Amino acid sequence: MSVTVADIKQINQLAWTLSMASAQDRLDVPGEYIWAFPKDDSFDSVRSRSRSIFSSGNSIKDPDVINFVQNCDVAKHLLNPWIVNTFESAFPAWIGAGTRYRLDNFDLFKYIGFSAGTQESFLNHYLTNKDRRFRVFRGDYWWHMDIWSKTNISWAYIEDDDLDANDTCIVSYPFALTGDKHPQLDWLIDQCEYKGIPVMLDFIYLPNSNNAVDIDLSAECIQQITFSFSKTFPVQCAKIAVRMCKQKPDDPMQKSNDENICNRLSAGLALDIIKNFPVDYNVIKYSTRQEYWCKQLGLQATKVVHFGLGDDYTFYGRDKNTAWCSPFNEQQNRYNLGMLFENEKLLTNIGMCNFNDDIDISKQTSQSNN
Amino acid sequence: MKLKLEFDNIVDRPCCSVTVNQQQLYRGEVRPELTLFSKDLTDRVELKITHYDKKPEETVVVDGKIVQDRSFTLEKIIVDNYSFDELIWESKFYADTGEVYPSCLFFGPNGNFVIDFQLPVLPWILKTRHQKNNNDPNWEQDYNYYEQACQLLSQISNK
Repeated sequence: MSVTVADIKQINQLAWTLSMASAQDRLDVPGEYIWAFPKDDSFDSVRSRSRSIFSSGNSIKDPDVINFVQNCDVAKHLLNPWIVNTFESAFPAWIGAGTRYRLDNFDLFKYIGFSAGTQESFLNHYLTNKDRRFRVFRGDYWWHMDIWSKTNISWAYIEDDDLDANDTCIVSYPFALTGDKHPQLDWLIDQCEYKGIPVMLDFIYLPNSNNAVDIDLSAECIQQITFSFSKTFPVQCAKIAVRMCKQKPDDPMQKSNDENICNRLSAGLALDIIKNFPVDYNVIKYSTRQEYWCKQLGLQATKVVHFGLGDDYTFYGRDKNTAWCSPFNEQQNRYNLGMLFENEKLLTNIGMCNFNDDIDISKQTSQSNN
Repeated sequence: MKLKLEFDNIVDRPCCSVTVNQQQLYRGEVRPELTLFSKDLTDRVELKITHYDKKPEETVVVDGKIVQDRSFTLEKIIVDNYSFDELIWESKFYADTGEVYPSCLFFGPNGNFVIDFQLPVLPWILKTRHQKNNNDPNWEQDYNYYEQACQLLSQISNK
């Protein structure tokens, strides 16, 4: 087995250069959050941003998707009372067309709800299960642990205590930290099935994954599954997600769906996107780029196309004291390669990238819903 | 080298001169801000700010208390857009009366405020800060990344 050794020097130079380019407004695709912009191009500002340049799990800011979204007429969706339902009806077929993962018994999840980001689904799950103890694997989405801790909700890492019938579990698949199946997922599903513990599976990176997910969803314990658009398309702040359930939920989010008061702008935008981009759009477009950058930088490509794994290039964000946003945010050795993909032109112009494979986007393997 | 000095608490129109390596850049009344330029400086720099022309009667004492005093305070030294911040205290004030006051930014008596630094100033700031606080062992490596990023981006025209 070959062992990859990260080229820390090159990774650092890329981080500093992208950070500096961001400060000078010279990125091909600028950041989408205030925190992603250094306040100026001074040493301290550039250094600070360089430390988080490969953090976050956000989507690739694909220029073609950005261009498409900018030309969408979303306002018209406000006038369409059926738009959310139309999106909800179209979504399962879009997901189901993917050939790079396997979701057996996907059709058992008959109740499909628009969610204002997966966070709305999570909050509703917390509320519905408020008398249970929440359980996650170490390294899963930090937001859960942060919110539970701040609101005094009972929780524990799965690794730290036995599973109890009064628990409820949330697991990302592919797993957030590694971009692959969590090694204990099968064990967890078996245990939860045996003990009657409800499980929410968060298919957060599913569209960007390639042969990471293969699951039979018929286990009764798997009651809810969630899908996020913010990790697939650069529409993070449109807050688009979907929750699918086997039984009709009775919670505030479902109430909003039933009342027909969900965000029509976002649902309409989501429908426009899935009509025009196949579910594995990023895998098709960026797999060879992922390979290229991982080889260049001595990283191990993950089964999620915008991640690589490798040695840390900085100790910032790697422990509770320096973690971004929350002490529960364990980035460890995960690299989000998005900024390298998005800024290919800039990096090529300054001699830091020589990727030249002109990928043919028509080589898709799944069907778009055109 | 671009040198910016910021002064505060300026009382009774005091005068100062500013010299770097014996090259006088300014002589006259103290202003809240002075922006000065010096050419052909490399490596070691001695910055001297001289308070002059103050007369004994310009310190007014009533009942043992100073009630009026021609004086000023140095607030900031900024070289090539990098502020010295806390490193401004790595200085001495040599009063004309012979006393030496370390880390003194108050220009009460006539005399010379002196601080030594090196150009380019950024690595000097990083190195000195690390020597004092022992909290930035990667400063040199990071400075090189920063410089290299500047050079790489200077190859291409601005947007």
